Amino acid sequence: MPLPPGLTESDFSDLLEEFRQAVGSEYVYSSDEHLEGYRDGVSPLYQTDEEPVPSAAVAPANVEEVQQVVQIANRYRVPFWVNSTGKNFGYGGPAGVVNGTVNLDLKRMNRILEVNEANAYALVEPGVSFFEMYRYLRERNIKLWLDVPSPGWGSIIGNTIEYGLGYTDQGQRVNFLCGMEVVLPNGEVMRTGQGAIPDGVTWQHYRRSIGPRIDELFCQTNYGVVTKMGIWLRPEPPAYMACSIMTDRNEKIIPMIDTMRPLRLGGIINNNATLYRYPFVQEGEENPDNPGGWNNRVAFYGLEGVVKQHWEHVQDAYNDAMPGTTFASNLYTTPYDLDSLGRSPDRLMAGIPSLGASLHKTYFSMALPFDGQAAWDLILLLDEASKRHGRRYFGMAHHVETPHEMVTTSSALLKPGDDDYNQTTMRMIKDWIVSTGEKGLGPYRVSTPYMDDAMAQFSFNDHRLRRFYEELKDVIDPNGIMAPGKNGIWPRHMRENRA
Amino acid sequence: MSRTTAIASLLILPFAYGGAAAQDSALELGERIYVDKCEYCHGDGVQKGGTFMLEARYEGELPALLTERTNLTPEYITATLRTWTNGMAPFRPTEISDSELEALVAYLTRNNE
Repeated sequence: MPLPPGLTESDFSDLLEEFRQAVGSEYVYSSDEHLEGYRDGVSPLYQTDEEPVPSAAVAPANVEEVQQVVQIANRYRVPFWVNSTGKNFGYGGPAGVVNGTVNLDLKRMNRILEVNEANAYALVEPGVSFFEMYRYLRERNIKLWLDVPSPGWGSIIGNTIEYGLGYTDQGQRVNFLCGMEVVLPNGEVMRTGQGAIPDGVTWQHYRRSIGPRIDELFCQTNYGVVTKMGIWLRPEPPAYMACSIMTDRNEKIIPMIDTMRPLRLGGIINNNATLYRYPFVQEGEENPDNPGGWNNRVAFYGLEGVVKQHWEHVQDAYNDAMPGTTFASNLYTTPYDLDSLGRSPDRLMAGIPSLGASLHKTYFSMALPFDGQAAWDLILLLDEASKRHGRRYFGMAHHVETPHEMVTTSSALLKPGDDDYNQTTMRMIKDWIVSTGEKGLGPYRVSTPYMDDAMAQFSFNDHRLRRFYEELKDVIDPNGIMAPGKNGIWPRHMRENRA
Repeated sequence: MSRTTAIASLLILPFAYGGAAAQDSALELGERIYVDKCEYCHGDGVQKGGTFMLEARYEGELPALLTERTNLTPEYITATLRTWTNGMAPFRPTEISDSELEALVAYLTRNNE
């Protein structure tokens, strides 16, 4: 494995010894075998000369050990990349951007510190996965539901601060984040919001302090290591209905979205509704003459009568706008037998974590107006860009994150060991990023090989936003050691690395 | 000796000298690790991606459930758990430690012929 940038073998040996003294020798990893799990095997760069490979990994058990590790990294000026559970696959996994980065692995910090059923919140450490939280709630018969992403093995903190989306009415999960503890790049600990009051009693109740709410400074950035986070949960509803609205043609995405918009804006549909390809076909296996239609998945939570009434109203709206639409629904009421829910969408919209099968994809996701024509134009634009690389694109998934916008998730296949195929995939995604940027659209989230390309789209007034981020970076992290290059934010001494 | 063989040899040795009690203890720990770290993907039931993948791969020639297999070798298990092979993401040592991996190997090979 490589050395960290700027370090000699001797320095590196000393660095590892200091890490061992801080966290225990058992939790410092530098062998090829142990470091393989810190590489991004789901990257077009995996096992190529360009792959950023970690030099070591260190796994602290508590905030004090995180502080020590960060202070050591400062003394050696060694860059480190943070992972909570390391499952951000498709968006980079646990691996960093710079070759030789030390991986700071927070999985051992896996305590659920508090669950308050009456006020519906939890306080967790970064190593807590959605599976673990779900199991905790069910084993204790705590009647709270959790919003989850589709793969449940990820970290609640890690996924939320990467702006991960779920499927419930708390699907824009970052808006349900309440209070953080952060180790800053100089090793100091800070608590946000009411947590800044010593023993503050409303840390997980009220999201601000005096002055601006700054939690999102630690989302998709490299300004601090989040070591605790509050997350609001939702009480178990008396009734829950999971519904599907299906069309048979790809272009019917236009009326489907436009029919949904007033229902979402008006509060009839309140969950993070999604549109998935229907019938579902893997990328690359679609019939270009008829790639299929869409399945609009929505959910209702509340009193049984109200839930049923909302669903009837929604069906009427789609029948009026789109004759021939088909519908399906499942109604569940208390007492729930959640583990018996069989259909994947029903599980996700009830916050039950699962794990799918497909890993070898690389993602590019972007924000889009909540508008049918905009969604259709994007599909055509990405298809045209894909054709330039010998591929096709027929759309993948849309998440209605708020009543005002959607996040579209686009992925492209990777073939393990096929460098030519994977390089083409990477060039195609970079083409997607530039092509959509030229139309005034920007990414919501990208994988590590495309972070500079993504940030470059936000170029108004000579990249003023990026320069602002980097001005902050230089103040908060003067040695430039934390996650250099994360989402295109580089420390001063590494800006020549920008792609 | 290949890298994975070397690791596997290290894993097996403690049980060779540990006797029946150590083996029972390892099996219990291995089962706990399996339930905790593997079953959500490789268990029986709905939305188990690993089981789904293995059903498609083996088409009935081998059991899709890992707990029903009798031909998993320590080398294969170790390579799958620690490297990017067989379509599965590796587990980092903070998720499954070397000693936990030993126990998991013991559990998944307990019925080998």
